[in-house]
Amino acid sequence: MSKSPTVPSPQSVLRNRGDRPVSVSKSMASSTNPKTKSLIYSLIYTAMIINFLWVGLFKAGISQDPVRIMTQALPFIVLIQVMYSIVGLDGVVSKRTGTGPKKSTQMSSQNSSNFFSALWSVVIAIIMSFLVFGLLVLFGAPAFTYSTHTYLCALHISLLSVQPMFYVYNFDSNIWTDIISVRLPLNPVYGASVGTWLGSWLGAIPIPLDWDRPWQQWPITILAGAYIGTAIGTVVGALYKSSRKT
Amino acid sequence: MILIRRWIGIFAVIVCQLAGIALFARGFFPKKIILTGHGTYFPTNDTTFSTYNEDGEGPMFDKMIFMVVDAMRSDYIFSTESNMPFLHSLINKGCAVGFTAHSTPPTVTLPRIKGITTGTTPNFLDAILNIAESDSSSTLANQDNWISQLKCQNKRIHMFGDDTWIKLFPNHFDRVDGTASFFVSDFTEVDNNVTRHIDHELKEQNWDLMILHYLGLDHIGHKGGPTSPFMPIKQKEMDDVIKSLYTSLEKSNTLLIVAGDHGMNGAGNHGGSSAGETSAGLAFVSPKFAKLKLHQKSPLLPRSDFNYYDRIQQSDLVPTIAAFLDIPIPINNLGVFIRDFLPLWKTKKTRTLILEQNAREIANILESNFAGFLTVQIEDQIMCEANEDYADLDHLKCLWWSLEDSFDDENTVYEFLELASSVLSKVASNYVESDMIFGIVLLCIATIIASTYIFSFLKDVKYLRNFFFGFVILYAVSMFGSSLVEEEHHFWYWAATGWISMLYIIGSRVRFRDGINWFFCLVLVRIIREWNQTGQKCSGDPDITKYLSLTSSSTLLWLLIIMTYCSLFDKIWRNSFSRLPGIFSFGLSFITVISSFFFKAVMAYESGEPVPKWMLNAIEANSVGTDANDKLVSLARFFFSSIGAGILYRITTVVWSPSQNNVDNGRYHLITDICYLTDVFFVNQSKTSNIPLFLFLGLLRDFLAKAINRSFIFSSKSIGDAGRFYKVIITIISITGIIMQHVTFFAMGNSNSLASIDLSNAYNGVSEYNITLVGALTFLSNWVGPCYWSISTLMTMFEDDIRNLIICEIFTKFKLKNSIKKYKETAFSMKVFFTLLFSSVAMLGVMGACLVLKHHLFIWTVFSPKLLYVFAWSVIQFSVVDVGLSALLLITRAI
Repeated sequence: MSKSPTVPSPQSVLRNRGDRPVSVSKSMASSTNPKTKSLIYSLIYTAMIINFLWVGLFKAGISQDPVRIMTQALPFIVLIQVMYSIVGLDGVVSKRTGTGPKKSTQMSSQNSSNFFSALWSVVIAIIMSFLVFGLLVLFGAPAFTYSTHTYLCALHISLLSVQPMFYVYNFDSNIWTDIISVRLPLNPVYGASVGTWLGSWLGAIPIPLDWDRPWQQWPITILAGAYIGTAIGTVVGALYKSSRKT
Repeated sequence: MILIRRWIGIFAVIVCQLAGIALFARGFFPKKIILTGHGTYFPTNDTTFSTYNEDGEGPMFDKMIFMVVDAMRSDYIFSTESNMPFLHSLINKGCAVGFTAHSTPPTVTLPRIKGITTGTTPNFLDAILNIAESDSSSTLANQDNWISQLKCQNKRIHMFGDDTWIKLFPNHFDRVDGTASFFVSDFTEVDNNVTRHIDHELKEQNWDLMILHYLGLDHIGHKGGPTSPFMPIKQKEMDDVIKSLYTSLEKSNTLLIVAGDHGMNGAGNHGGSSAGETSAGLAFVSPKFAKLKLHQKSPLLPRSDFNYYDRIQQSDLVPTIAAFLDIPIPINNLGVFIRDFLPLWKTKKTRTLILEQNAREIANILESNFAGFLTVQIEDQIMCEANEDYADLDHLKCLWWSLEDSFDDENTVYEFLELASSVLSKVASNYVESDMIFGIVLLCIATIIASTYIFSFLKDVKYLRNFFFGFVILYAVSMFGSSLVEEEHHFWYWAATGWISMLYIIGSRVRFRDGINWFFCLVLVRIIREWNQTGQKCSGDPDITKYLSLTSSSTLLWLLIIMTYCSLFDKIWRNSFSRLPGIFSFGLSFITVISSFFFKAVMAYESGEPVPKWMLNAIEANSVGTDANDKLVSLARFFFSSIGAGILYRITTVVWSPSQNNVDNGRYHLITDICYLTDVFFVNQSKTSNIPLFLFLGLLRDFLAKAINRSFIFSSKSIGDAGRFYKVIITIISITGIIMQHVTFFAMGNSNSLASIDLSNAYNGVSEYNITLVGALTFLSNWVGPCYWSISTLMTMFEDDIRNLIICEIFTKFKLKNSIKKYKETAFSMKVFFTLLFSSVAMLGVMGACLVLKHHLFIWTVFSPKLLYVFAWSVIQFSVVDVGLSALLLITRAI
């Protein structure tokens, strides 16, 4: 969070729009600017996530007491996710289905309703965390021991990947089918979600190594993998989206 | 033509692999510098010295009884858990002195006996020779040892017990009764064969050295683990033997040494380097020791590091025995005289002489390893006087320089002895690097041949090609990490989840609902991997096997086993024997399955595993009046022959089928029928607690086949491109097969440690030791999982009715009818190439790791066992079983 002042704030970016040379046609400006905006929001979010992983989890001593630190970190990650949803994700992701009317309603929606839908997506993420827990066990998390550790890890993963997805896509079964079969075109939100899962899968690699470091204990590497994956996924998604022609 | 070219390629790859293995092994496995000849007393500073004889009293002990109890871990004789009260009372009186003797890996009997008698550190190849017993190169004819020393002095040596001794010391013993060490299911007879001689021998006293080697405790460990109910009974039996021996010690001047040759790990096996395996118990027993006043207390509380009293090296026995019996120290000994016993000699002069002999003997080995060690030059003197921090070898030289004039200072002598011993035991064995590199080059050639075929085969399915190459390279790289080798199962479980998820994603893109089958596969893999905890770090953690092995869950276990056998019966009745008339097919299936079931039940009962009460009647009715072992052998033989007959019958139906064009000419479902028969065989070769695993393996096999069909056939978009579509199927089934082979191998409790080799099913149906038969059964009982998937993969690939029907339709539609056969032959050879490419790269990884890390601390404990495992995988599993099975089916033209 301490890094955010160094990155240009969204307001300054918005102000810059007015200063652009007049030679740029109006249609061009309207098509490039949301992309730039989205890219900048994604970068800010990435910085915050990495910063949070380092300061909020590792510096706070997750190696000494994973359960306590993961629990303490929950309100903060919820705050980050809600802020990112309201500020960064509003109208950034164009939806596949429900083209015209839906978009316009979302454009016109007030900040307060955005806030409630962000909260609602947090609630969904908390409910879905049980499913995530099941998936973690299926992928090899200990089945009979460390249940609290695994569940807290699942909650973090759910907040990182499920919450923004629900905020953006709600319950659109077609889109969710595409999400699960990894067919949706990349964008910052989807990139983050894929990154979370890929990161936590890759995070299992250091566990069997005999370095005997405190951070090798369950589930720190998985959690760190999820956070790093989210950060990388967001950047990759944002870059991919802004590099696309249409 | 393509087919012939492919099989020439396969042949070339296998030849390269075998030659590479042979060369690499020749260069890698060490040949230590061994001094030949016979040790004599070294000339000492005291020129009058000839023996340790003090005041004309003769040697410290006139006679010795050397009692080896196989696999006797330190806690079995010293801890409060042990059931050896007499020995404990002797320790408390001071008449016995206890030690924990460190047994150097590989912790198996033959190398350990070599170590205990010669005082050398073992040669890694001894571990293999321990299994290949008939090898004659393992005698100690050229290596000096205290048995030969005694023989030279015309002492009479009697030996009763493990016949390994007879192989190691031919013509040394004046009276012998050997017992074979390989019938692990025999707990009592092996030991009675030893004990029955004792009374007679103690009465006659016509020996100077008596060796007793008891095997029962080791067998109990292998069968029932360290906490088997038979363990305390056996310990009491050993205690009683010690008691009867002790009474005679007091009469004559005899020393009794009770020693374990190695320990055992948490599963009751040994061979590796864990704390339990390397901590053997050792006790010196004689009333003379009371005057040492060591005040040892016994029993002690159990310790997880198995350290009771002082921890010494097993080789330390050698100079100690030499001093006790007044013989020269064997010439290659690295052991150090046990300091606790030094005060037994009254004069300082004798004590100095004992240490001087030990020091001179070790200095002699130093000289042979590092030429010029004994000649101290001026610059060395300057270096020593400068008293700087110097390397171990320089330090040794300085110590030796200060010792040469006088060996009076005990502390300096011990500093020298201990440092020299540790330096020499670590001396890098002389690798022949050129052989190793040439072996690796041959493997590179094998890899290149195999990859060119795979590359051209998968040139239009790039994503699978990239995945496969990335995967095998990742595996090869992981072989460079010692903990990744120890915990290799994690790699496979991790890869399996990744692979299934990837297939899920690919499948659900085509039709979302079909993904659910992959999900079920994931669930089944999760259950299977929970069955046995393996590896080094967490092998003691709770798992399904440990739960099922509890006495309280024996009913559940046996109900699951009965369910497994019912499903097996159902499958062979409906498939394998279904061509026979109704009553015969039912009867044959029933007899086959029930004989295997009773075999497993009687074996479980005989080895002391918990068996539910309601089954006892049936078991006892079955084994009434006959010797249990005979019963087991005949049951197993009956079962093996009925399986063999079933398979033979099924193959002959093809060979003798009258017409080639007949729709059902015996080829239909041939692999399936054989597969179900071999399933029963694999169940029979598994540990009792692993049998229910086959229920889940069967489900996994079905779900994998269904998932592959659903995701890649029914709604495949590329169905018009028949060739590409068939390639995808072949690739996916082959890779899934390789992954599942490894997952199941580890899930059945195997690991990359020699200790996890399970011998409990290696003697099924064998009544006399036969190296080929026992070797084959050992392989088949440890590689059950991989073999299961070898044949299951073939079945899935070729005999899936629905898929075959669809493929037939497509091929007819595109007028490719004649090429169906061509495609099937492609499938056979390409499946083999996937396996061979994997095995070549895997071997390349392990060999590379062994070459690069040849000075690594864990080279003999982690990488060398892995090298042996990868050889077994490549040569036996992949080249013989996988390739052989494919070739055999191709030759019988069963496709």
